[in-house]
Amino acid sequence: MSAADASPVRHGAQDPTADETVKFNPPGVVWNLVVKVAARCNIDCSYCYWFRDPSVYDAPKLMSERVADQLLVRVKEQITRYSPPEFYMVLHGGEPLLWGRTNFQSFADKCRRVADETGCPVRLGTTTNGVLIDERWLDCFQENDIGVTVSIDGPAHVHDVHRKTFAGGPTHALVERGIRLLESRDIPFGVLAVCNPAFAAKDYLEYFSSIGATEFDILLPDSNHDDRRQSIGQFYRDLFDFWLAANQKERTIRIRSVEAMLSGLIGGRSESEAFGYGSEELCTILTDGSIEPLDVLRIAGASSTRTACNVFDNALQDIVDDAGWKAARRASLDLCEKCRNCKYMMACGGGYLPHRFSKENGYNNPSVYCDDLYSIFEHMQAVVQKNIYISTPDGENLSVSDAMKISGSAAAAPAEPQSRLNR
Amino acid sequence: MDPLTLKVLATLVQVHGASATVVSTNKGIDELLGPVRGQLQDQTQLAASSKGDGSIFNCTLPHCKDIYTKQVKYYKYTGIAPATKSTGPTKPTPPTGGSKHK
Repeated sequence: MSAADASPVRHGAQDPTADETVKFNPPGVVWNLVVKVAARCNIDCSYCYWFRDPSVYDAPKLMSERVADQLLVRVKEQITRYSPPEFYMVLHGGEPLLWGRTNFQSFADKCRRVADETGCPVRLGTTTNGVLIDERWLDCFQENDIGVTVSIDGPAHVHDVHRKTFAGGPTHALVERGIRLLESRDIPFGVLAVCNPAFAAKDYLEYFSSIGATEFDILLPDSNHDDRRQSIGQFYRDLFDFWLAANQKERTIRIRSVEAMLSGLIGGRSESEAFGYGSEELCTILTDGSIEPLDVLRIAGASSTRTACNVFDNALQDIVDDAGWKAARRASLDLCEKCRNCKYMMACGGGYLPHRFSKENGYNNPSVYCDDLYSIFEHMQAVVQKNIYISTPDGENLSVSDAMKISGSAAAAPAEPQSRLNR
Repeated sequence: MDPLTLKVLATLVQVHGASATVVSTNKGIDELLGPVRGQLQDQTQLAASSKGDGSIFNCTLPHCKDIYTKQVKYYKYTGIAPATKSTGPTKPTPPTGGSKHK
């Protein structure tokens, strides 16, 4: 049987976008920025999406004070014009701590000024490899309420496969040292890993447990249809099983990817950009002040995220009219036929946009992980069906299948996505 | 069986009475059902069930208000809300076999 024959397509379903009255939501207001304060890194991870695009070397190594100040002019302008409930900036890289504590402190001071002047909270976070964290960085994080997320791929034997120094040495001990420092001050931090399916999910989970990390995510490796990829299905099925067992009687652990997929399956919403049907609207500010769409899209090739917008000539909201940004957003909503006809379309959303790319079709593909994602959703769905009940007014807990039998054809509502998109 | 979309759950709950609701014996799933229960409680919210938070993501086109299931709150590389420091590390049991999810 060919891969196409095995595909999760409901044959004969009506194409939901054939109805020309179906329109996509207009873009939202820009309120969430990834700010590349450093375009270089101090370690050499083999899978890094950032350095797959050689044009990143054309950008200044660090964001200048002039660019940072102009960015905040635009942030204040955006807040004043659109009154978002909060404004959020992730200081990112490369390795953002290369920007230095002085710059972090100065930027945070100026953000507080913008918040004071506008009445809108301006929140800062950073994602770091943790290598440079020291006592003075801890002071900076604490004094400025900067949320910290540390990238660490589980235990040393997994982490050090890809996350190496430029001399090819291991980095795990350096990162763990940074984590211990954060713990020494009781500074809450997030943990992000990248899945390496050559290892068991259990390896990651035991390590995160050992460092007391109960909220974390393990991201799908960035890949597109022009890359070689490894199957991640078994890894995430195991991850879900672990999550389920750990949370059986008490809520002890949160794994964002698992919860994003599961939420979509039970009628809720995903809070991850990697899962669920919705538009890709994140914006990235480069060290030279350029405004771009989601930075991971650069795995599609050199300069693939370039736009004509920058903080000197444009308001932040101008990005939504840029052809490149609009194309990325459109691609996130305009799914390929296989996805449109898949019963998991709403929960999956076609997968993460960068993972759909191929040189041949652009983004008009399912995720490179489509078969894996389908198997994960099938596994989750089978388990969820047995774990959800309809609690009736007389105190009875009916299984979903029993509830459906009782409710008869009334419960056999048309499956997504056709029922929603064709309304 | 198809996924338990909000529409399917709403139908099941409606059939079984006004105070029927959806629950799980698994605490993790039950917590994720919390927002879904909120939406099911007020049928008038169904039309806007998946459109976002109704403010800065507000949709002005009536026919597409309910098609999105994704509501990204944070960029993925800082997507983890900082954990509240616990008094000691939780040591959940790693998966060991095939029956743990029963």
